[in-house]
Amino acid sequence: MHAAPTATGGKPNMDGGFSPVTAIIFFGVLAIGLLFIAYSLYDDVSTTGTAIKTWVPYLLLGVALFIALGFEFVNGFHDTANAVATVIYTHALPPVFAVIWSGCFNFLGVLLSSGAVAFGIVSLLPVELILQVGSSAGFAMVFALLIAAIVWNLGTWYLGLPASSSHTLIGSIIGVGLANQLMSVASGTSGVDWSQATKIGYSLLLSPLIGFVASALLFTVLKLVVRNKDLYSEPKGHKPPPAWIRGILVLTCTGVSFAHGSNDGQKGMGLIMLILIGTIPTTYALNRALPDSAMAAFTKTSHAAAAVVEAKAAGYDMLGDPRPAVTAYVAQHKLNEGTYPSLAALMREIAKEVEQYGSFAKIPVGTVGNTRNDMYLASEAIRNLAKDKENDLSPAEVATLNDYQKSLDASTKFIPLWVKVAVAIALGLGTMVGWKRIVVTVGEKIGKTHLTYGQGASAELVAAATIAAADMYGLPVSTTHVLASGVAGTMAANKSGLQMSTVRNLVMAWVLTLPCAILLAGSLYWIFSKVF
Amino acid sequence: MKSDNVELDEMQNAYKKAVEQWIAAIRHEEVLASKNHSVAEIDQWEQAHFKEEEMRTKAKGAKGEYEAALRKKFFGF
Repeated sequence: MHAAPTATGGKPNMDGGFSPVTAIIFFGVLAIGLLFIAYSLYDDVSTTGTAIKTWVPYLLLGVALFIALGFEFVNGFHDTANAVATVIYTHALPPVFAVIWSGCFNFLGVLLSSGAVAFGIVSLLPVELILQVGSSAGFAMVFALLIAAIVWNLGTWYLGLPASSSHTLIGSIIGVGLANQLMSVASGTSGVDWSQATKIGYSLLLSPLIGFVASALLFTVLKLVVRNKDLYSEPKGHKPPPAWIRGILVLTCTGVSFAHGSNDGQKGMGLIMLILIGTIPTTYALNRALPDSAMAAFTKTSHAAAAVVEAKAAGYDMLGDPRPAVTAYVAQHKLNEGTYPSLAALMREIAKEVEQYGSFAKIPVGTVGNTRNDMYLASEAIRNLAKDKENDLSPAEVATLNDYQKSLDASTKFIPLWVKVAVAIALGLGTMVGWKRIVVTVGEKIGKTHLTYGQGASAELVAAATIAAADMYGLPVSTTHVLASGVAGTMAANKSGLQMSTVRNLVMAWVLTLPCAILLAGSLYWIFSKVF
Repeated sequence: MKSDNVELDEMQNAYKKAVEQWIAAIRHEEVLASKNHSVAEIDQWEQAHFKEEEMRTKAKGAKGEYEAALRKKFFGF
């Protein structure tokens, strides 16, 4: 069926029947969210005592925040289908209720996430751009990758194609890194984490395979074990499935929504923190809310880690600025004789900077950005060092360094509550609009017959199980691809037949996502860095 | 329920009518294919193609509308 926005019988079809009350609540939450963001920003800035000399950074911040939250909003409706398509088409929940339910659990997923993964996505970006995210190149990077991701997500959504938003974002990050590398050949910076591209390659092969085979198997087993004809025939009228199937479907819908909020929300948070650090470093570069006990822990771990690194430096000292050597190590992952001495020198400087003031809150506004950069650099260097096969460190030494890294991260990798709330609202509200296009594809356009209760439950159960397995074993799989393939798998197992034109479009979109996102983000980065 | 079906019937009829018009436009275009391969006739034939495209869009639109109404009836969205 074609998902054209049409008027039904003369009545406006507000994309799934948004009633005036729902619309008022929707815009009410949006308005409260915006006010909350504005107030929190104002409060944060005035508490740090930053004198506002110019409004330019705030204007830039406004635009950047708008784009970043826009990315989360688009991500919301792009991925709603993963959670609700099977629930809607099996009549387990009414459509509008299902998307509001999913939106609420996305919201909770973001709010209750630890924020630990948020900076994982940031660390995939070129380190030299993260260190100077307030520069024009830094902004070009953030804008390019966000806009590229939004454009591709919107495009695939418009065509009703369920493609992976994660692949899009990682493609955009690789695109920016690649363009950065190509544009600065002379400086030899390396900005591309190709292992991520390889992971996506595996995901492209694994996800459809797991989705198709596992769902087909599960559906076949279900057919053999539960011999209830109603489960395998088209739902009659608005009759919901049997309670246990309904329970499974609602539970998996809830789980998938929560996990989506938690994972995809964190990606947005990491990028927003990057923007905040770039625009108003004086307020957001360091976690000023850390208690004094964290300070004591920092001093302790810092001394222990310094002893380990100094020992490896074997008496060599670093003359001059240690930062270029450490930056080079983080960018290229190549350990050389200068790495340990320069890291030791950097750690000494950090300890001096921090201990001199006695507390993170007392570090003067003017130097906080530099302290943050030093801490970030040391943390990244240690993170890479701990994984480096040539590091020559004992497990105990690695543990000491990890403790130090953790205390560094406590002060640099933090997320204020309002950022979480803002992302939660954007993602939650996004889930509730525009979901129809992709839901229709998954529910009606993959198979030739109507989705039965058994098929919906099998496909959704496999999709939910994949999220759990991916978390536990680090499998590179995409929920979106698994679910779409899962529906196809159950159609094949039921000998219902597949709509090959949809399948062809899907596969094409999946394969093209990475190269297109790379190309889009790379070109945008190139254009923006010429313009800014 | 009955009024629902009246609306659905109307939409189905509109769709069928649009398809008929589309078929007629295709036939018309086919008829205009030049026997003498002359430029003037080719012009008319090409012109008929645009009409056929227009009718196709109309038929697809009517189909989409009917489908959306059916979806609304069965799934509530």
